Amino acid sequence: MEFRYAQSQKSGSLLLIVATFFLAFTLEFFPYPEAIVQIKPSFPLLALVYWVYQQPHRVNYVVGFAIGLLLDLAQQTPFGFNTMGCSLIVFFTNTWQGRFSLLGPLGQAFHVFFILAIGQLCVWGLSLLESEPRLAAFKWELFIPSMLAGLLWLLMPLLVRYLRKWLSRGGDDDLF
Amino acid sequence: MIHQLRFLVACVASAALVYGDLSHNVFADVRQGVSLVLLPFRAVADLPQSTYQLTANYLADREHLLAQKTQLEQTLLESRVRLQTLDYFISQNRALRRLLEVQEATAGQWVAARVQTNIAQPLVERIYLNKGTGDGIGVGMGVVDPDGAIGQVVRVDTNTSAVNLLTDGKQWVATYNARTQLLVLLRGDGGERLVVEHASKDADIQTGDRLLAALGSVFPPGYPVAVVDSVAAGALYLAVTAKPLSNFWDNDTLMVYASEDNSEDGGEGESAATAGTQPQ
Repeated sequence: MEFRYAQSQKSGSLLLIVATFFLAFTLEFFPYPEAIVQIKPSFPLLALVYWVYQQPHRVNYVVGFAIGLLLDLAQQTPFGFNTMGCSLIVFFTNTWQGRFSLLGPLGQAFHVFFILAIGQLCVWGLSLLESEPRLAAFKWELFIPSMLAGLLWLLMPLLVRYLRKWLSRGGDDDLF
Repeated sequence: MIHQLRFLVACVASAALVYGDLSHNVFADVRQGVSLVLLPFRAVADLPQSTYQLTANYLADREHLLAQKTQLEQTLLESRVRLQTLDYFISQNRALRRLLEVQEATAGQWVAARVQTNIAQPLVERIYLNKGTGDGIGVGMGVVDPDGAIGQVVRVDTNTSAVNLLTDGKQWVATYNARTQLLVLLRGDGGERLVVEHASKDADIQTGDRLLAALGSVFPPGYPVAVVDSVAAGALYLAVTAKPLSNFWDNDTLMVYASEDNSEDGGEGESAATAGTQPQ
């Protein structure tokens, strides 16, 4: 199967975007084992990068801000922590959109890792305002969720394609 | 240019939200209302586990249930016997306090809550509970396990609450030394230990001393908090560290304690929020 990563201007239905975020948040709340919960990728952020890349006119700062607010609610962080992180993610995804189209899947995966790591680092930095772990407690494990999200990026087109098929009950899959 | 402007607006709005929430707690009520938005996600995500538990409960064989019932009856009997002894001690304690004219510890309320493992902030060690304001939990309440104090509720919505651990650098707790009755102020070191603040050089503190929650702290008075594990002479004060008595991560269920003062204002007051944390 050949993936085409070029930005699609075709209309991915609004329903598909909403369904992707619903699925992403459901996966976010899934009761994972304790060992996994600290390293699991942030599915809503991955979905955010994907749709900002695919549909920048529909999914931009407003949607990013809303996703950030929901994540703030979900993670019990003060309002503004995740909205700031999401704004950074939208900014970098928009800025590097042209470069994205020229890259292969692995290059894109690395960029996604980098963008999500910036967002994650921003939220962690802001969390020091409220809680005070030792700075020595900063570990490279902080970036595992972003790395895994980068790997999951390779599967995102496939996932969205199946979601679209499921929503349209075998209808067209012209997004790819 | 518009792209950068939008980014700037988003950043300013985020900074305003952070300032409003952290400094003035202006979104406490909004958070409780809006958190209902997350209920459908949580319900769908919990569906596989709840279905599995329902099925497992339904299929549990009779022998297993009978054995469990016998064990629970034994535990109940033991607890009743202990309770009888406890009642005796409480009445003795009250009588002695009256004799000594010491202020009596106020009774509080307890709420049992399950630990949620599906919420996490990377590298921020917090415990999340599956109960919130709907169950009477409020900001500032103390959280304990059977071995000792765990931390303090710092954020709460309708169905969940976040607990700052005792070891967090911004967490303070007033305790007393069980051996000498000396009042001791503990602060988290941001790692795995607690630090005794401003212990004078001639203070009688030894390794192995148990530190218990003082009257007026967010924990039940006399509840175990930590044990002193190192004492060294410092320049001005003693350098004393203590190890928490509870194991933060080995619990499925924790107890949230609301002292009478805390439960009267619903636990939402600013005074409750700052009772055990460093003013910001």
